[in-house]
Amino acid sequence: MFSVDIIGNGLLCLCALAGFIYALIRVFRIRRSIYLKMVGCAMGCLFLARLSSIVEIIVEGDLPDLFQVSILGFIGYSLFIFSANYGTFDSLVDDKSQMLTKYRRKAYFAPLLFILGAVIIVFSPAHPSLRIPCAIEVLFLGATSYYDYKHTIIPNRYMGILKSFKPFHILSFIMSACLMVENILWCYNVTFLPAWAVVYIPMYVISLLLMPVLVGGMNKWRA
Amino acid sequence: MESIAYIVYICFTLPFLLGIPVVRKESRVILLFIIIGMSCCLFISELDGLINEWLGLSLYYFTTNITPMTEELIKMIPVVLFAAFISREREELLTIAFVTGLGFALMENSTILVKTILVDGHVNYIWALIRTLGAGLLHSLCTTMVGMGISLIKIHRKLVICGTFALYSMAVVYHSIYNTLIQSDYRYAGAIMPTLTYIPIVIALIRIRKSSSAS
Repeated sequence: MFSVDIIGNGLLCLCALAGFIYALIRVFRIRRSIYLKMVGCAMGCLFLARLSSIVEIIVEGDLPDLFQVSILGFIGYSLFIFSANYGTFDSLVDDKSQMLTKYRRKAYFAPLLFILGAVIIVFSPAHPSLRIPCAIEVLFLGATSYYDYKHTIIPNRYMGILKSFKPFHILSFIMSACLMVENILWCYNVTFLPAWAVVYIPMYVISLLLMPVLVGGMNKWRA
Repeated sequence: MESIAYIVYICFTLPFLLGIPVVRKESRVILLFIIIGMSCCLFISELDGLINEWLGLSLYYFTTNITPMTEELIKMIPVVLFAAFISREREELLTIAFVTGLGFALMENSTILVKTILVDGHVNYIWALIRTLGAGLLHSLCTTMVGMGISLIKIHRKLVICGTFALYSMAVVYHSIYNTLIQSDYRYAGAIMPTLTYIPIVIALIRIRKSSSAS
């Protein structure tokens, strides 16, 4: 009954739940910034996606190699983070000046990496109904990673906001990268356990830390 | 024989429709969106049948992975249109979203009730409670989730498209978890899931309303 799949996904689900509960307690309050609320919603999406996978494994015994709704959950997670960065945070740190052009260009490295990941997935032996949605998910993660990477490398010009939020962006970028590798492993049906451990362990840690690090960054910036 | 779904639809929508010119303006919108929710249910049940025929998938896979996507999409459209063209006020959006889901659930439950009675006649209070607190509440909750989110992102226009799709994804995954659980040996876990989500949402809404009126 308790296969590696259940333990691995179950722990991910619990860590995402912990992150979401933290978000519910600390973030979903009146007068909290929209940025925090969006990231809180992203944690909710991540938790639901993990829960969907674990329920499917418990009920069916395994995740079928076909399209799974949990993929939509991960797309939702990336869209919330993307919306938060693109819609609220980016305008605070990037004034569209010429001075920052080189950083904007450098930031394209991140989505290119994810496009490569999507291509690898598209050529995997998995069923098209699995590999195509997985590749689309990776492209969404790529869009998210653009802002995460950009906000990590861009110089700190506006009242220390970037410095305060840098740990969050680094964690978010690693999370996106881990999700991409997880999709690659899934589509290539990799059964080599250490490969999964390398992806899962950072995801456990990041699911737990993402919200506290963000709230800490916000408090530090306001102080 | 005429389709049961259409007969149920006429039986329920006609009284609501006739009530629209009589009631006050605020209640009129509510009645209208209940009818819209019911119409969405009727439309999507027909469309789902066609899609499944075309895809040739197993009923279990279809109801756990495809149906949540189509149902949430169709329920979301009236809420998004309301937010885009009429009002983005939180209270109004929440009401509209909830009653659209309610209309959808009303239509679905009524059709299933009539069909179940006609097929094996086996319905009881437990069946009614599971249907109402399970699927009934689920549809309203998923649409409310989208409504709450749209009201959250109303100020930032840049967030609208991505944010709305993200909320849709969230509702689909939640719906899919319910559909998977309700068809498994863990059906009671599935049945209480919407209630467990409903209670904290209501508590949060009461707190928000209290603090809003206080300030």
